Amino acid sequence: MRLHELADRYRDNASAVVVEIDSTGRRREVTHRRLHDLAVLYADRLTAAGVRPGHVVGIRAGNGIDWVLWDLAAMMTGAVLKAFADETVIGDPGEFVTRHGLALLVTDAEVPSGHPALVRPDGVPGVDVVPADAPRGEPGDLHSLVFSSGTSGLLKGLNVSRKGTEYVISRFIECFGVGADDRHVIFLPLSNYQQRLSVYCCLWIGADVVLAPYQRIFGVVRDERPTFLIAPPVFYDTALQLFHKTGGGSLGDFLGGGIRFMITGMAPIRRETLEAYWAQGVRLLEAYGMTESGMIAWNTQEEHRLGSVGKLIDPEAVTFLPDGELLVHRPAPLSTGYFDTAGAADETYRPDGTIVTGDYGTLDDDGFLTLLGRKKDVIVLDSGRKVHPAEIESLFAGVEGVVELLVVPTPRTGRLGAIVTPADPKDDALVLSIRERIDKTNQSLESHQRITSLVFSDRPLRNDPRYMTANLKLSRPLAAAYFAEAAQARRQERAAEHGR
Amino acid sequence: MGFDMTALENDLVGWVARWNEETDLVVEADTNLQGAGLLDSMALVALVAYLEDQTDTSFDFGSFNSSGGVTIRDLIKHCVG
Repeated sequence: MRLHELADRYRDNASAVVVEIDSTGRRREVTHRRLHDLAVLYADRLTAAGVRPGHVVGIRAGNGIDWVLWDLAAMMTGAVLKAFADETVIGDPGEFVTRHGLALLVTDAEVPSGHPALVRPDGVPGVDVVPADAPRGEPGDLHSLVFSSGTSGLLKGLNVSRKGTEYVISRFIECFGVGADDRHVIFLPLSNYQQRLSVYCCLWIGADVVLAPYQRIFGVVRDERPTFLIAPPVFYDTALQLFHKTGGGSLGDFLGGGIRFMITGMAPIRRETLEAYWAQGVRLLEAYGMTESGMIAWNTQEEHRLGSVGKLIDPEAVTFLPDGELLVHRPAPLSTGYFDTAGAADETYRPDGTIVTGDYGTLDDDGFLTLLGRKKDVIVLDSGRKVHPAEIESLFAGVEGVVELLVVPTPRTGRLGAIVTPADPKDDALVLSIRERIDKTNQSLESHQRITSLVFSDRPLRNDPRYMTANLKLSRPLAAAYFAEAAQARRQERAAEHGR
Repeated sequence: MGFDMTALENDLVGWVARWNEETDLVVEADTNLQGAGLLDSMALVALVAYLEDQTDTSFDFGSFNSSGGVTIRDLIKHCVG
């Protein structure tokens, strides 16, 4: 895959389409050929506005065909697209444009009008509106500027590489055998670079691509019949529950009937969810990657193992530190570094280009990678021993009657506690038996791995917005705070009982 | 198209109750679904998909104001009210 040849690939394709479905449910469809014609038109408009190679064009807008057109037009003019998340606050447009070094800002945000360098996604910019002092660089390998939560959870700005983009897409096409018969639905924001990779991929192979807001995803999947989908675990959990509660027929039919495979990543997925999809004949494949490096491992249709994130894409590019942390050092990482570290020190990129992932993992004998946890999630016990909560959780995965078990540090004793959600919180006998089973499992573990304190929750914390990060991942600090609060309440309750 | 609003409310109340069958939380037509911890944002999307199916309409998310919380009554009113 070559980005500079992308336009030549899709310009004459009159059969493949790009579909847009907006928040009201309205549907718009263009062929790849028409998309190309429009992209040329948008590129001409950029040029007329004064955008030149090396300028930075900002975009902060909801998913849609226009978003894709500005991206393709920026490529055609040699400009670099800077993609802002939907929740980015623009405030004073002039100050925003200057602060971000923009030549033009495409936005659907409600901002004070009148600034010449602003244009709505479906609008036409004025002539020669680029600020005279708009910086121009030499893009070289720089393809785009994007924001990602990165390895630390802070929103950081990343320089996305052209070569890295081409490499990741090429490997995806090779490993998943996607082609012109495929149809892909995107419902996460295009400001998330993974979604743009998917768009470029579909344009390259001549596949259909459907853009939709996440609010419409279940209807869109059913009506648009994608052949593959990439989504976070919360989508698969909800889709499964929706199917069980309201669906008829098979899970595959519920998902439109055309699914060849589905990919999940971005956060750990529950083993039961994976098993439920496979039991229904739907191939749900876990993958692992980061915007800094690109994809690192994935399960494929041919090679997969439940509970792992698959085989390493480039085994020779990954090494493990003695404590299990993964380092990636590939010739063409997806990103070449940060342009904004959100005030934090850049500890991810080493001078030699090695990327320190902050993830711990282990390879089994067949080369499948299992992630043990994040560096920032490591619990340091009072004994000085370090444990990965996800690793401890996996040791208790077989305890019957447990919907969720989250391992947290105990606030007072510096050991391990757990938040347990029973299948039926009202069933006292079940709660008692869970305690007994956890005790029994404890006996087979080393002392520092044992869960010494339990708090029961009526509902799982994962997927509960109160305990999730902005990226829909479980916030372990918030889970630990929940445990500390519940344990404190229990102590007070007991003290009151003793005082009576 | 006329809808029996009470029947529709009851239908959706039942749907949310089934979604939360492992909890003691009480569902009513004017319960703040997310505020009460009954539905996360993706589950709310699932509920609206069900509502669209039942009413054969398209819910306009663009004009729906959820800043004060979302109730079943609000959803129905916005969809078919």
